[in-house]
Amino acid sequence: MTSVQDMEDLLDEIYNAFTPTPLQPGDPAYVDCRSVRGDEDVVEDLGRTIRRSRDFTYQLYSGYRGSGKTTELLRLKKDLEDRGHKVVYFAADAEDISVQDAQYTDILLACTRHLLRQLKDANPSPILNWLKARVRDVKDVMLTEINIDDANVEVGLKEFAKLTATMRAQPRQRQKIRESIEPHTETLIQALNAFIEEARSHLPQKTRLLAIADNLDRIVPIFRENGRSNQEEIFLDRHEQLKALACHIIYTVPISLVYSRWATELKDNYGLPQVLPSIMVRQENGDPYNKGLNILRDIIRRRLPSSFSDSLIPDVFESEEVLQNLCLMSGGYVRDLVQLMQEAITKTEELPIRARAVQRAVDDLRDVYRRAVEEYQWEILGSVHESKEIENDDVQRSLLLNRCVLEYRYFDDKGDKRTWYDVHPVLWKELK
Amino acid sequence: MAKQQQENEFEKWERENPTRFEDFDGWNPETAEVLNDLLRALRRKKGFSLFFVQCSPARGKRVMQAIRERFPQKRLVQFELNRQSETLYWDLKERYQEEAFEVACVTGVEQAMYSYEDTKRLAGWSSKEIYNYSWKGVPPLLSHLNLGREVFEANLPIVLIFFVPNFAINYFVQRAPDFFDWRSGFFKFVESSDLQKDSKELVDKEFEKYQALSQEERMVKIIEIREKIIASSDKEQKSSLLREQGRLFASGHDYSQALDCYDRAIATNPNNYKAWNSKGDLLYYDIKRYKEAIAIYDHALEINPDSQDAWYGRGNAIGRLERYEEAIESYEMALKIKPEYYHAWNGRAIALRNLERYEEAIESYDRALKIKPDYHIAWANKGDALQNLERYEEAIKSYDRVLTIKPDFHYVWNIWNNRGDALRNLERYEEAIESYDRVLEIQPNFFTAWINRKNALANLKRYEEELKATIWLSRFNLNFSLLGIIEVTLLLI
Repeated sequence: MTSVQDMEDLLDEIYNAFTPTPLQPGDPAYVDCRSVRGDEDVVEDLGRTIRRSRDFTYQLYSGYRGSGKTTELLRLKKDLEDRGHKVVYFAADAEDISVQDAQYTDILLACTRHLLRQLKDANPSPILNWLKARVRDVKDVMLTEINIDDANVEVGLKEFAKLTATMRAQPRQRQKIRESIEPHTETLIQALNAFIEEARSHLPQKTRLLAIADNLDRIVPIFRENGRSNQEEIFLDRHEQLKALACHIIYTVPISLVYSRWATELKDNYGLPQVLPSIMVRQENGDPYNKGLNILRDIIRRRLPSSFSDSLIPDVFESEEVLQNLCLMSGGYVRDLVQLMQEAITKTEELPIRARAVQRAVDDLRDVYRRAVEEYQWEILGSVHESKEIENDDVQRSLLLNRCVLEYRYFDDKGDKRTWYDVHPVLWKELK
Repeated sequence: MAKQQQENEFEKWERENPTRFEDFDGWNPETAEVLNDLLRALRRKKGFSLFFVQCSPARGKRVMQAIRERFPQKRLVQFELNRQSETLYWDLKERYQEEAFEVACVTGVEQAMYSYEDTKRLAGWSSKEIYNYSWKGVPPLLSHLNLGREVFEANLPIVLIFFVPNFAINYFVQRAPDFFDWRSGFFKFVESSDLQKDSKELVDKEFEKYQALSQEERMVKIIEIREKIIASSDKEQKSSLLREQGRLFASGHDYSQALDCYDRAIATNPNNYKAWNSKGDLLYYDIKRYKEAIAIYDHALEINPDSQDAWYGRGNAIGRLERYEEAIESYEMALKIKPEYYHAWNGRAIALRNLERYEEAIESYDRALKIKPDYHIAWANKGDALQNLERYEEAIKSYDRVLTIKPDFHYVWNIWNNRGDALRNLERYEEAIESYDRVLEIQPNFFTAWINRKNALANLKRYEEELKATIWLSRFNLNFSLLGIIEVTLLLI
C-alpha cells in the first residue's frame, strides 16, 4: 500500500516528467518515431549530407510547432560530435531576432555573435577588426560607446552584444545601424570566413564544422508594400549570402515558407527542405493504427518512473480505453500528447488517471484549438476530414500551420510514400 | 497499522493545507474544482513553469490570495503590465535578481494590446487569413514572448502565471503559439455572474458618448462586449450585444467591422429591429448608400412600426434623395411616436426649408429648440432659414447662439461665413469683414469667404485691399486673374 505522501511524490515526479520542452540528446524519454512518420530521420538525412559532401552544404529544416525540431537537431549535433565533428548549435534568441522586422543583417549578426562565442580557440581578430572599422560608422547612433582596442574575444563579444542590444532596444537606431552595416555585409562575411577558416585549421583535417541556426522559423512575417515578406527576402533574395559562409549550415525556416508558392525556389537553392510529419495514430480509413499507438504508449512509458513500466494499466490509467483515448486524441502530435498527460495529471488527485480526468484534459485542449479556428474555416475543416486531402491554398495551409490539420506519411504496399491529412481529433466533435 | 499511518499522514496534510475552497464564498463547485487543479499543479511543478489563468480581474485577485494562503512559504510577486509594455523578460529578471521570488503573477497583458490594429481585427468577427496577415499591427509584447520562451526557461527558475481575460488567451493561441505551447497548465474560471443584467447595462448607449472615446477606451469596451457575446447563449441577448459592438466599431470609423457585427446581430435574431436600424444608419451616414438604407429602415419598421429611430433615419435617407414630402411624412411618424424627438423636428425643418416653406421650417426648428435649447445645429439651420426670409437681425442672433453654445463646432467656420453674409445684407460691412476674417483664420482655403470678403471691401470702397484680395484670389480661379486685377486697379486710379 502506498502512503499519501508517496503517492504525492509519485504524482509530482510524473507531472514534472511531462513538460513540453525539447529533450536533450540521450534522454531515455526519446522514442524513435521514424517508422510511423514515413521514415523521416533528420540525423540520418541531414547528417549524411554533411558527412559525405566535399563542399559546404546549406540545408533547410522545418516542421510544425512542437513536432520535435529542436529535439532532432540536438540529436544531430550529438551524433556528429560523437563522430568527431564540430557543431555550433544556437537558438536565435531574443537578443538576435526579437525585433518585429527581422532582416538578413540580423541573421548574419546572430551567426557571427554565436560563432564568436562558441569557437573559443580561434583568433577573433578578423571580426574584431571589422567591428573596429564599423564602430566609426555607428558611433553616433549607439547608446553606449563601443571600445575594442584589445583584440580579446571576451571584449569583442561584449562590444558585439552592445551592438545587438542597441538594435533590439531602439527601433530608430536599429534602422540606422542596419543601414550603416548593410554596405559592409560582404566584408563581414569575409571576416567571419577568415575567422572560421582559422578555427577549422585547429581541427583535424576530416572534421566537419557545422553551424545550426535554430529558431529562425519564429521570424514573424512582415509584408512589404510590394507584397514580398521579410522571410522571402532573407531566405530567397539573400540565399547567396546565406550560402557564403565557410562551413556547413542548417537553417530552420518558417514552415509557412516551405509550403508557400516559393517552395520550388527554396528547393532549387537549398535542396529539399526536411519537414517532420505527425505520428499516425489512425489509418486513412479511420481505424486505430496500433503501430503508431504503441509508439505513443512508449513515449508515455519512458517518461514514467520505471516501476510503472509493466503496469501502465491499471496503476497509471484505470483502463485500456482511457490510455487509448488519450493517445488517439493527441492526433499523434507529441507535444499535445505531453500536454494532455500533464493536464490529466493536474486533474488527478491520486492514481490511476481516470476517464474523467482525461476527458477534462481533452476538453481543455479542444478549447484552445477552437480559438485558432475562424468561423468560416469550420466548413473547410469538415471537407478535409472527409477527403483526407488539403488544397494548397492560403487558408488550408494556415490550418496546417496552426495544427488544426495534421499531416501524416506512410509507405503503402507498393513502397510508395503517401501523404494524407486529417483534422486534429479534438476538433472532430465540433465538425458538422 | 499501515492504515493508521495513512490516516495520520492524510490528516496532517489536511491540517497543513486547510484551504480547499469547496465551501468558500464566491467559489461554486466548478470554480472550486479549477482552483484545486491550479493549486495542485503549483504544488507539483518544479523549476520554470508557465501557467495561464483565464479569469476576470476580481477573480484573479481571489486566486492570487488563495495561492498566497496555500503556499505561505513561497514568495509571490505581482507584476502589472501596462499599455506601454513591450517586453517582460528584462524587467522580470531585474526584479528576480533583487527579490528572488518563486511565483510571479503577471496581470494586465491585455493592456498592452488595446492600441493595436491587430487587436481590433481579433475583436471583430470577419477577419480572414490570420496567419498570413502582416504582423505589423501586432503588439510587440506578444512577439517578444513568442520568441523569448527559451530565455525565460533558461534564466528564470520561477513559476510564471499569466492572469488574462478570454480574448487575451485567443491572442496567445494565435500570435504567441510557441510561448503558449510551453504552458504547464491552462485554467479557466468562467464566471456564471448575472450575464442578463450585465448585458442590459452594456447596450443601447448613446452614440455620441461612443464617438468621444479614445481608440483604446473603445477597444476595452469592444472586448468587454465580445466576452459577453461569447458567453451568451440567449439569442436575443447575443444579438443586442452584437449590435452594440457594431456601434462601437462604427463610432471608431471601422465600418466593415461594424457592418459585419450588424449582419451577425440580424442573423442571430432577425427580429432585432434596432440592429436593422443601426445597419440603416451605417449605410446612410457612413457608406452613403441611401436607397439601401431606406430598404433596411423599411424592414425595421415591418418588425416594429413604432420605432421612431427607423422613421427618423428613413426620413433622413429619403431627404437625401430629394423626396422631401415623403421625408416630412417619415419625420412626422417619428414625432407621433415621440413628440420630444428634437432630431426629427430638425430633420423635418430641413426638408421644409428645401421645399422653400421657410416659415414652417422656422416653426419646426423652434419646436426642436424648445425641447433642447442648446441644440446648436438647429440654431445654425434656423439662422439660414431666417436669411431666406431676409430676417437678417434674427439670423445673426441665431448664429451667435451657435457660437456661444459650441465655439469648437467642427463646422463653425461656415457659421461665421453665413453670419458675415447676414451682416453684409444689413450693410454692416466692417462687421461682415470681421466675420469673414474669422472664417479664414480657421479655413484659409475657403474660397467663398475670400470672395465675400473682397466684395465687402468693394462695398466699403477700400480698393487697395480689394486689389490685394483679388490678386490672392487669382491663385484659385482664372476669373479673378488678369481681368479682375485690371478692373480693381482701374477703380484705384
